[in-house]
Amino acid sequence: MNDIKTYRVLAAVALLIFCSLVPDTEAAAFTKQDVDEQLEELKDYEYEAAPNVLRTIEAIVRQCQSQGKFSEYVEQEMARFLKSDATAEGKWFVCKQLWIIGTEVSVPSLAEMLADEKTAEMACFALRSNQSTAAGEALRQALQDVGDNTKVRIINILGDRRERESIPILSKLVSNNNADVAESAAAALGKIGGESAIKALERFRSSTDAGMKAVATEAYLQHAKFLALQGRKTKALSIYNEMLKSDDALFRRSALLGIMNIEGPEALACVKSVLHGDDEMLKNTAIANSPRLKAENVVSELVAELPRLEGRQQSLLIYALAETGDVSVRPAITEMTQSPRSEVRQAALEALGIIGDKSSVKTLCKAIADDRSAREKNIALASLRRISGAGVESAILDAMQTTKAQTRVELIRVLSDRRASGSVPALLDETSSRDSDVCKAAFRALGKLAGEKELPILIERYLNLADSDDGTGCRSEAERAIIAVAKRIGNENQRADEILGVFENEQRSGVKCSLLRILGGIGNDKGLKVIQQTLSDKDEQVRDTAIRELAAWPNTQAVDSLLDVMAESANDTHRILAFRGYVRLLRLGCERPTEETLAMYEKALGFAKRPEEKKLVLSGLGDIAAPQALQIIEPYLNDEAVASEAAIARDKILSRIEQANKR
Amino acid sequence: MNNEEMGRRDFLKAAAVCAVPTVIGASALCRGSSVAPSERITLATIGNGSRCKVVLDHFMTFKEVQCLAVCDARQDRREDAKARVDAHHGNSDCTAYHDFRDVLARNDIDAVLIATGDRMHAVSSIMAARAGKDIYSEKPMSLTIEESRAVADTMKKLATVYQCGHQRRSVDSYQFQVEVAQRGMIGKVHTVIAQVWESGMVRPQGPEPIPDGFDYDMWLGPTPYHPFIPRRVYGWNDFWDTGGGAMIGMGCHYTDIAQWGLDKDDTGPVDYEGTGVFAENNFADVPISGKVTCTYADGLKLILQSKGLFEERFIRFVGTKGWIQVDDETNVVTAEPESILRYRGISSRSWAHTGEHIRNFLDCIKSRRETVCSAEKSHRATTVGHIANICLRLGRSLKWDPQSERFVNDSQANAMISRAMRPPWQL
Repeated sequence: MNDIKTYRVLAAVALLIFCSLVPDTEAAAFTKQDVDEQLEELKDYEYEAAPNVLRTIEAIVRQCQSQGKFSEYVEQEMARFLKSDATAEGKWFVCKQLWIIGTEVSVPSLAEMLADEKTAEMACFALRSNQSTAAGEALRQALQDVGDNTKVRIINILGDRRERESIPILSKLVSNNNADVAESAAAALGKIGGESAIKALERFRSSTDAGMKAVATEAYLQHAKFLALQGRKTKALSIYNEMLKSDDALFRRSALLGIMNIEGPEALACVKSVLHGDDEMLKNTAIANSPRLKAENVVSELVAELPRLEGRQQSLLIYALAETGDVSVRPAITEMTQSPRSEVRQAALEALGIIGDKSSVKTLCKAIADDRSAREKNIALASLRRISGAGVESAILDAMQTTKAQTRVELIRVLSDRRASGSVPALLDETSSRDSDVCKAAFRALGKLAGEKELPILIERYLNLADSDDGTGCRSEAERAIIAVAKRIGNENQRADEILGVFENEQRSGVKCSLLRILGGIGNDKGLKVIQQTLSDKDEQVRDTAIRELAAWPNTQAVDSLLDVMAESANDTHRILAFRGYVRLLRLGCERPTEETLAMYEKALGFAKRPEEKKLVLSGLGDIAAPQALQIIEPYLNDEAVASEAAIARDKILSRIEQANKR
Repeated sequence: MNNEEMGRRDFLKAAAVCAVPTVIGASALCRGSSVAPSERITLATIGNGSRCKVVLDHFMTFKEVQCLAVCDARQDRREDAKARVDAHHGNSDCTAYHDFRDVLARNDIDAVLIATGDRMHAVSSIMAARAGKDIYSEKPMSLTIEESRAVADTMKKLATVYQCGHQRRSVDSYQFQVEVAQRGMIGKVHTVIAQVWESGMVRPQGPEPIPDGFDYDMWLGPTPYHPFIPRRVYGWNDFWDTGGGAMIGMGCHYTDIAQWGLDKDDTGPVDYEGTGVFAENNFADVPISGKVTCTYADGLKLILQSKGLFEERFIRFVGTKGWIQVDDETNVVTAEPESILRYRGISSRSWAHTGEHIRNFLDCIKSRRETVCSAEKSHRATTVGHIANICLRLGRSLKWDPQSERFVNDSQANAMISRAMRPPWQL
């Protein structure tokens, strides 16, 4: 076991040293001699070999950018390298560098490589992005002499390069006997586009060869897009309208979208015609893209379509209309919230969240209050949260006055989620509600919305109910709200002042306990002092609460008090609470030196009587990345009752030491 | 049918005859389910590694989803996936494929979940769209800027519903962070700091025989050929050929949140400046660590850094009056002033829960609306990560024009926007 421990520590140290010694490739500027030497070394490179030469040449390429002549030299030497008897790995690597820095300088060497099927792939890789006209020429030239596989490779590259000079040769190749060659040529022509390329593909649109037909048709559609972009609207529309009659649904969908992208009445007319047809997919596509239509009266024309559509399309159009942002659609959408179809009502309620204003609040509140499905209610609530514009929150508050308790709870949550700080006075009133759910919701919202200046009145409302413990949960909610608001006071030292003022004069046991919980939640020094004093209170319930608050204290200030309880209390429950709290606080991050923390853990172990307590301490020790922690744990590795926890802690410590070393 | 047997031509033929489903009409199979046939969504997976397991499990929590096919270049993975899917549905209807083109050729599949390595994301997305499928693709959506631009254009052109797996957009901790930033609760936001982990050192390794049941040629897909080297295959994200390191692998999640939070979904930073550490004796070619400062035209900054341990990843929005941070490992949100946190709804769901993101995708399949992580938005977010990597690879600052999507007066950086693909694969 010790051997493994030693090994792991050594491994961590070794990793630390290794990481600090990783050599950086950018150490120095490279010279022409470096280039020669590195390329010479690269000639014998194989995958198993040390990769230093690769990384160094990459660094040389990085240096090329700012130095034109140096760059030219590097490219020249790389071109020479490609003619040598270097390994395939070496040549591949050089071609990947020429992909970045290649110019006409390297084209002759690469052109030679195109002729050989074994090297054509790497040459194509280098030539693909080479901006020189010589590169395109070399590729076209090579087509005369290479086999079909390499032809396809080169044709694909020519398509990607999109040079118009390639159109003549590609136009011939579309009739090649080899089907792969012909189809690649057709695809390349499609990419290059333009009148002459499309003309070469024209006859294949009615081809019996499905592959050629698909390529030619896609190119034709692409051509229509180019025409539209050039402003040749009539020609583009003629292609799209023809394609709209295609027996291929994909091309119909694509043509519809093409028409919809063209500004003018034709697009709107086309959409209306589609909506009156029976192609579901086309209808949905038309509706989904309708917010982007550019035509006169488009919104009113679409609104007019709304009642004529079936349920699903009606819902989709409602969303689309909302997406236009045109508020004139609001009345039509509001009307749709009364639709007999649930999915339509849902869409309309959701759309009001986007397009609605304060006038929509009433409709949404009605949907929440009415006997509707949970889904519809949730959508209406989401819309109320989302809806924007002036007066929305006042409208919600107005609506609250006339609704039943359950709806008021929902609307209070909405106000809270909307961060409606202006609703704080109304929410304070709601804390007096006889309905406990409304009261709780109001306190919860106040915890989020109230500020420092509202704290006294919030405490006053809390005190109104603080003496009652009827199991409604209102008091707990009020405690949480006060803690949250007090924590917003900028000066931490003043956060508990209001509560301390009340505590001083409070005699009721239940209220004192409640106030102690609030002080614990606030967690500042003044509160701690008072809680420490109440450890000797005559009332056992108060003492018990004080110990619980100390055990849950948010920082390590409470450790000494907990240690005292552990040492002095005769009450087992209090001793256990203090012990657990003590160990928990030790695990909280603080600036305490590691040695001190370890000493405190040793103290805790001294108090740990039961295996569960020892396990708790061992688990905490596992958080400490220090070899001394291992020494404390060691005796427990042989204690059968806690050996496995001790081993886990040991492994955690070793792993943390290793991670710390890595950093 | 193997890779050689089914080429691009066969795929296109099959795809060309497969009709686009009519609102979900493809899936009339409703055995043992309470979901109406018209509401069902039939799914296939492409790539069945560890990520797919998690996401597919989340997909299958939705009753309307029926997984009909799984696909992986590795036999062990596809068999495992089929067994899991069959066990879930209580039948043996799921078919296992090793070539995703066979999956795309089926006309009874509505949508695909793409969870391959990065190398296949763009190509398979584009091919799936051409076959009329809607797409949920894992991130990053591409290996290059050109690839993700092509994906976004294709999705737009074919009106395909596409959801990128930047699922943090659908997670409440990040939604809250963005809301705080956008509502001015930390003042005017001026900087976003995103930290991903440092990469490790990799020892050199030579070629080994391809394991039985592993279609390595399919696995390579469009990436440059190299022999089967286990460390390169199983640790593909450490090599530029097949991945982009943590800067894009994890970084794209953060660039997505940053772009969203800064309301820059349709654009991107214009200046990039940074440095990376490339270790001399590292077999992996991505940097070990790095830091790139990306500046938008209005002066907002996004700092992407690869630093520290895996567990230390985070994203922080910094404003004139405070900051808000989400720690990814723990999903803990911290802020200054701390009082901001009281406005957060309580949810225990972290980034690991993909359910809401999938729900959005499924809803959009039915409504044909744009998903929260559409191809266009994801392309922009992914581009930020790709440019950060290009900046590190070139070792100098770069100027980017988000309009033309080209580097300004920089032929070398522009060369790196795109890469040649191994046939038969192309965009």
